[in-house]
Amino acid sequence: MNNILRSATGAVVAGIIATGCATSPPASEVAAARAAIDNAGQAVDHASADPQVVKYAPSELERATASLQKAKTAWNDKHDLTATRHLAYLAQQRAATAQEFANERAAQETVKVAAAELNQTMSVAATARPSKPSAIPDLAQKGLIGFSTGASQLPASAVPAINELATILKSNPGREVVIEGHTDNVGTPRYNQALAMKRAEAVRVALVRRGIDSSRIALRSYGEEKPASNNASRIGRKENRRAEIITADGAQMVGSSQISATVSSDDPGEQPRQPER
Amino acid sequence: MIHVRLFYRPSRVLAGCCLLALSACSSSELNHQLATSREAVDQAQMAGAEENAPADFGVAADKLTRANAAATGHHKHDAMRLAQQAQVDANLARAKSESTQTRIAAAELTKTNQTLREAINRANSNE
Repeated sequence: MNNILRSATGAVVAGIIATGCATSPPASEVAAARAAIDNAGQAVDHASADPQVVKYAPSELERATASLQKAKTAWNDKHDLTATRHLAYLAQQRAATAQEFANERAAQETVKVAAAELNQTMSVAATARPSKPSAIPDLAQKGLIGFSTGASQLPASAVPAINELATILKSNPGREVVIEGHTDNVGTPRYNQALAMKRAEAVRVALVRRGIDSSRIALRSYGEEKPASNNASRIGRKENRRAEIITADGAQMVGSSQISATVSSDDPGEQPRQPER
Repeated sequence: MIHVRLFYRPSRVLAGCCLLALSACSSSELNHQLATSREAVDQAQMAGAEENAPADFGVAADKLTRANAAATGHHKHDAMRLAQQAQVDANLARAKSESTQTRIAAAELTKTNQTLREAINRANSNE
């Protein structure tokens, strides 16, 4: 009898440690184990059904599947609820992690597409920017020519060009310009140097009257040094009596204060020749 | 008596099996798992999981602490399970944090694109 008792106790203890193979588990444990396995199974199935997960997180998905299998084995073979729950939990978290990897991948794809779009937009913007300034010299070539000989008053034909220039500058508040004055070769170089500066100044005054801040405008006189046409003909000389608008960015504008200082000088004729640009 | 002897022997065999199973969870294995889990939690933290996946990160960090405590108290099986769970929790927290950050970046880029497009359109219509 004692023997029977001892052996029975031994079996029960062993059964508890090994989490019983011989005895059938209580209904509550069966339900708990089934719930754990079912939940994990659903998570793994859900992840496996997602082609993105299968494609981008295969090893994590494999680990989830393996854990789920172990959870099933732990229950079916040993009825070990603790191990079953533990392994089912691992499976569930791994399935969620695999899902998250796929989410990350999808977001990366969005970033890639958006970055490409941004690049494209930026290059469009970059090519669009110079197109406006390039309109300014065109305009200058067309409109700001034909000053009368010896005069610095703006020709009437220049008014539309000045209006257009003022509009462009208003819609590009960050842009600064250099106005260059030029003459034909009639008169002394020194006289022409001063006259060209007065022509540039006339353009500036016209722009300031149209609401452009004078701090955005720098002046430069080239006198007769840079003819646009041949001074031999009357038409050529007329084309040389002109002002040109140069859009300046960064490096060019560094010198603008010097140029302005030149302008404020009483006698431009006394100034040394302008340095090379 | 024959019945008793048959019953007695399998129980000893079972007990032997259990001893084997218990010793299978060696200290070095547990220490290795604890180190791996610690690394997983650290990496999750470095990936910003504390801010982006606080719940999952909190669970992982808590389990790691409890795993270490269980290991100190010689509850090797508990320690092992807690450590393994801390690892998968930390991995999930890290993955969530990373995907959240990428989603935020994607949303910001998309918004930037939109703003820029609108600005360009406005500039074009002003010409």
